Amino acid sequence: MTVLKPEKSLWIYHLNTGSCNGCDIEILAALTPKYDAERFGVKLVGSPRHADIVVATGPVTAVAKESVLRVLEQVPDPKAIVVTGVCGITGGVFRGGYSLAGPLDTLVPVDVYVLGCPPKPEGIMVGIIKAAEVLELKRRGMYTKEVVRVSEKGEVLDAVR
Amino acid sequence: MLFGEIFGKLIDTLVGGPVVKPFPKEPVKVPPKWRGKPIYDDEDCTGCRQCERVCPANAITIEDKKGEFFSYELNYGVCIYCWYCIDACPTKALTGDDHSGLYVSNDRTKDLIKSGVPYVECPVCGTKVLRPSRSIVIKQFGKYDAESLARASVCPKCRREKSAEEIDQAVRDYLSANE
Ligand code: SF4
Ligand code: SF4
Ligand code: SF4
Repeated sequence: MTVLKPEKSLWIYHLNTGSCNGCDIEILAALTPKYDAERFGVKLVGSPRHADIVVATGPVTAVAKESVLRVLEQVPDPKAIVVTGVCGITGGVFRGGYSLAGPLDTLVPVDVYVLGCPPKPEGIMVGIIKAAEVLELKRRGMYTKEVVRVSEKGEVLDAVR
Repeated sequence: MLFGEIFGKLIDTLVGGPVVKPFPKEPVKVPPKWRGKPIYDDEDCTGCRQCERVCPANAITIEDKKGEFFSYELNYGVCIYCWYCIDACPTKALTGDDHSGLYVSNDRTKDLIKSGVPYVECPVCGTKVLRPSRSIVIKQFGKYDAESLARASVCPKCRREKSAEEIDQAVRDYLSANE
């Protein structure tokens, strides 16, 4: 099994937009020695200005919306946004709540969705690998949603053109 | 004390190998009783709507217009994989994926099941009834084919009011007419 090698190490920024903390713990678990996403060069950074990939959790709450948009504007292009957990995808268990400003992809374009409540750390790692490919394609200027070839299990289905 | 702990860990690593899981070189191993995606099979569904009632996330939407259509939608973008629906389903129309834990996609609008159960005619009087569930037909007749399906889809009213001979004759007429 080959995994697409990105040009640079991936620096991820973890953005909580009002989640229940379940997914945040799983993201941290993906970075701990047991799963060790740092093998792929993934590093958690403290500032959005250093990040390549934004890993977002949670439905965007009305209070957090302004700050979320401001943080996402600070991330340099090209960037890839990964949404982790079903409440960031559709609202999940919080769907229809009065304090939600909509799931994240109604506000900004989202590239990868990791399903689960919360997803497995391996799922988050596959999401990051997939986002690495998105990033690589964006750098070469040929990204569309159909081009991404990393499968659900993290394998590359087809060589990148 | 501390020295012993460190030494113990070292022995553990030397004997049992590294703690890092070799993903993605090796496929992901899920623990026993792992709960993944629920999978829907419309042939087994009786349309009882128990799954819709128990679903805590309202991931299941059922629309039932009596006599016309029964549509079933399960949205994985909402589902929290709790398997309440699987426990509630009386006919095992919902089964769970217990060996995969990785669900990653590029497009959230595609992560759903859109299905439904058709309405079929009662062979005796022609009223529309929901197609009988496969497991119930098999329980009743021991097999699942056109004949047993036709016999199982006799509506409750006919069962109550008609005699066994009348129903038998009507089912046979219906089957020969449909051949
Ligand atoms: S997807 Fe589930 S576990 Fe993750 S933040 Fe939302 S509610 Fe919490
Ligand atoms: S697993 Fe739980 S959340 Fe998902 S459809 Fe079934 S009851 Fe609903
Ligand atoms: S899937 Fe099961 S619980 Fe849901 S309506 Fe069909 S038979 Fe009833």
